[in-house]
Amino acid sequence: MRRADLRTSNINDETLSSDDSVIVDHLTKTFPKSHHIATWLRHRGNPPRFRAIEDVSFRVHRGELFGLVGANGAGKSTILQILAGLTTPDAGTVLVNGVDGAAAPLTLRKQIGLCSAEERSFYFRLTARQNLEFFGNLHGLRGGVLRRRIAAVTALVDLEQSLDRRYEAFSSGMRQRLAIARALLGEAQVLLLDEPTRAVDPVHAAAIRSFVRTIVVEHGKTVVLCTNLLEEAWEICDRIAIIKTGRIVKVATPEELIARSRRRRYAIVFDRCDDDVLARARAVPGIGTLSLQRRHDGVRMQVELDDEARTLTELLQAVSSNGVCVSQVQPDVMTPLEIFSGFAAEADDVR
Amino acid sequence: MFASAGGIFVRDARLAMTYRLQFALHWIGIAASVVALSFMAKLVSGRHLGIGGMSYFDYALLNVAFLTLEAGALEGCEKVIRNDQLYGTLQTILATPTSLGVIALGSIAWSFLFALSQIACFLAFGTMFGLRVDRIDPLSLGTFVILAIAATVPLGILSTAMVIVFKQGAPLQFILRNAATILAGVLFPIALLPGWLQHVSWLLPMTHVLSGVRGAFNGVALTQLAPDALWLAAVAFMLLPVSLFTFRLAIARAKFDGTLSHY
Repeated sequence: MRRADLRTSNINDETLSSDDSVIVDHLTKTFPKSHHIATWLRHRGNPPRFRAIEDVSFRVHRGELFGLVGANGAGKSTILQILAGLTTPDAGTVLVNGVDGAAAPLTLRKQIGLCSAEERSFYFRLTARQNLEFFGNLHGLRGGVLRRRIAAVTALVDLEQSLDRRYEAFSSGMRQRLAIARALLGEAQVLLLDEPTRAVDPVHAAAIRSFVRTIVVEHGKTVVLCTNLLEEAWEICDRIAIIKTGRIVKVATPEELIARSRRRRYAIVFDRCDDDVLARARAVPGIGTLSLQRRHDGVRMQVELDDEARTLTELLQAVSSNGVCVSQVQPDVMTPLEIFSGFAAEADDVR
Repeated sequence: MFASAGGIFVRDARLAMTYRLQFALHWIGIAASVVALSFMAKLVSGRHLGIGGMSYFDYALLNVAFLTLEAGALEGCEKVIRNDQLYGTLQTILATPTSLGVIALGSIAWSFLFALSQIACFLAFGTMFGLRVDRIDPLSLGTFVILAIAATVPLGILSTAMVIVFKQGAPLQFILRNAATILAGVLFPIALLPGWLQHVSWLLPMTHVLSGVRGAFNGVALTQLAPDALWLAAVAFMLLPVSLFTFRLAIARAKFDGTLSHY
């Protein structure tokens, strides 16, 4: 790490000695609300801007698969673009393997391999081999070294038989795999994957997820995966950052997210239900979403509530009065979407 | 650096070859232009125009042929970067460890080679219709070809910087190409222009390129063409760093505004 690389950073030597491959420190980015020339002139070259991300900080350990999860427009891609050096932040620092992108952009780009979500990031009229040769050249590879790298990375993504087909003849799954192969060409240690399974069928999406996991586990790469598919992040990521409206709401492992989720869901079965029972249930403090399903053996109530024993006790007391008989109480598994929504709602409450 | 620049050149050549009909039409277009000029030359006598003892056919053909160098410079980089904006490849290219200067200059390489082959084709067809090539001064010609490239490349890079910021066909290219056609003495000598326009003409690089090339084909030694050569060398020396700096600023602006992927 050069001294010069630290000049815009708030990160000290102690921090750098850690095993973090990517350090994002207090990143903020705004974009102009309009790129129209009239707006620019009206505001004398300084048009109003909107905040895409605000004070984002996180660290990715070496050999970790780190997920950035959030809805469309949450700011995931902006973070990835800044990591790749394609967008300049308003404030904050990005270090990739100790290299500050602001001080040494070319050195930073040697550290990263970008896998864009855009199918249009290749030349349609060139073959896969010609495309990879071009991008390999831009990574400074040529001749026999380049040929061997192309053979190696395409074998990894199972595309070596299709190398001499034009890119336009590739399916969406093949295109995504080729994008991953391109990201691996320069032997970067950090891979930035922007929605790698977007527009890919479930079978190929599963294969891509498995492959991404493999390059982390077997090849020791660090991966930052940007996705809005919560199940995908849950399935393969070591840690997940939940992003909402430009802010990081939570960073944790999938298991920790489940454990830390403040809300629990239960399925309660009882013999009958009327408006009075329902009103009493809703009146219990700490009750969240509540739904009823009439079944042959009674009524099944699915209810979300605070993670406190008292809330469940009070709920059971409320519904079992007036002679209602509770026959079953079961904790229900919360889906990643529900956990994500819970954290997002918490962030709203805090704000 | 050479791998990157070479890669950009090979990519552009490969892409050009995939559009075979368009590629073939270029050469047919050149043949058609030469034939048209040969008929026009029958109407015009060079003696009345004061074009230094050249026939009008030789005069116009050489000018039209070597004007493609400016087109190569202005269109080359701008067209390549514009296509990368449209294809969606620009971001991926800029995410690689290749410097902006190499990307800009590498993007021009194919268009210059293509322009030089077009010139060769013009000259080959021209000789069939009587173009005199027996008096060429090779040193003068070589020098002016190199200076033409050096002086017009910065204009192409400046034009590309405008495309990065404004996302549309660069007005600079439009102005320079039309100015050169009218004011650089392509179809008629500059002496026919009004006095003040002759001063404007003097400012255009292509005026000096075409003057030098015509001199080279007339067998004029480089020492006699020195004023034009020095003017071009000065332009190249001053504008190249300015254009690369402007290109860098344009990319930085696009990165700050988040418009790198816009088109």
